[in-house]
Amino acid sequence: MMVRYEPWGAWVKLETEAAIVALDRDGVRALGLDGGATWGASHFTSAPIEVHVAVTARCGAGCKGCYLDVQPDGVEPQREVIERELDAAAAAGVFTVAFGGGEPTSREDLDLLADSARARGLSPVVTTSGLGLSEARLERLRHFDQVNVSYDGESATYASVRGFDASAAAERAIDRLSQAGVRVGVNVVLTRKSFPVLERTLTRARALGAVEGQLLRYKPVGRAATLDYLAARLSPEQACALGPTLRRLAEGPCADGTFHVRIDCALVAFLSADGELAQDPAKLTRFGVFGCEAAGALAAFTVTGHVAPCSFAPATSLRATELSAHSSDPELARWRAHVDAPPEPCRSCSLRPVCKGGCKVVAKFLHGGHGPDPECPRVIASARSAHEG
Amino acid sequence: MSDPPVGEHQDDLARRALTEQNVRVVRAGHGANCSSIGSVIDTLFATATMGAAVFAAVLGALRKETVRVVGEATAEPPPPRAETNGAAVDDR
Repeated sequence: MMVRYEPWGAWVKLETEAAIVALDRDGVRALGLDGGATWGASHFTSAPIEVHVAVTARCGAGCKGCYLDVQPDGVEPQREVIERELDAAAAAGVFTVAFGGGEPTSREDLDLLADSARARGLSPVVTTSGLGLSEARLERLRHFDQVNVSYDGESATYASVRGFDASAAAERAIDRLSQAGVRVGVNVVLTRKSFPVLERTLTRARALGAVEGQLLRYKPVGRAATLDYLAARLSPEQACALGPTLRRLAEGPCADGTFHVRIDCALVAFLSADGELAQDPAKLTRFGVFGCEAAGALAAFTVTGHVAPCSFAPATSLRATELSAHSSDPELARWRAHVDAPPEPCRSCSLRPVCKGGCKVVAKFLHGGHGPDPECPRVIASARSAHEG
Repeated sequence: MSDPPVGEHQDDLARRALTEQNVRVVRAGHGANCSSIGSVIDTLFATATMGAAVFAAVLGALRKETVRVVGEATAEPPPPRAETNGAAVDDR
């Protein structure tokens, strides 16, 4: 196991179980360890535990909502450059690196990059569209702990999200990766059209061999930063229905414990509409649910080699190779400061310790800056109440 | 700076003292999304038995795996005083 000291104890990444654990100080002492300087520090900023690395800006798929607006002739950093970034991530105590882009499988050295990460003690995972998955590309993907294939649903649903129907290729990729013994999951972007058929989509993915469904909130960044976003995003009613939908999934495709559903950080705000979950944030915390961890437990390395609070946020001036200086970067600090002292209605929200104010990227697009997540059901209700009052 | 590995057996007795109460958070699974951080959610709705099994498996691993310390503790100056509302912040 890998142990990284924190003021409250330590983060522990297990090797025989796919899990990251927060252990209190007594638990750390039981391992025969002592947090030393970290436990004695008067001020401490935790490093990320997960970093998303854009290994290329090259992709020919042309998805209409691509958050990076990548192109077929996008830039591709040399492997040595990325390896220096991995050095920095490892030195900071990062546990997991998620490769993205661009289409990562377009790199012929993707397996070498995965090996480089692993050699530094980092768990490499990757997201792919699954399009053009040749035998050579599939072999390279064997080097990862998990591969997620973008799969928003069957043909018409897939096309509604991406602008073209490549669902058959994605389904073949899920099946082939699973048959090859690769742990495979699916990324499902939730839009007004994909949400109603979510259970069907996940059931199909599971039948093809996927072991995990990652639900992603649609975000107004890159090619999705247009007025069309307003029609594509979940309706307020759908956002409120997320909690009950997750319960149905838990009783359906997840019931036997061999298939799991994950929600992304930006979806946590929607759980404010779920009375049971909103009143028990400790339960969410105990099972490791993360809300907005941008500039906190999460960071991103852009294709230009800079640190960003998350993959959707603009890059800071901090070089990825200088990640250890994350605590003193003013822009990253600004993101963390908002989480520490949010305005109402986040300030008094029971979910605040988990949600951390919802998605700042959505707030920036709709309201021009950091602020309460405008699509959060509680924020909407609060605004309506203020208007009517 | 990484500490040397701690032997697998020398701390067996101490590790037996580890309990579920020492485990504040369990984040299950690898995840493989490259754009936003994800969290397993279905376990929240699972039966208490299944939830307990997750923690039991974690405790089992904590008691047997070899330890390696990673990351660097770097001294930081105290931050400038910021306006806060006095509410509890995440102490995870």
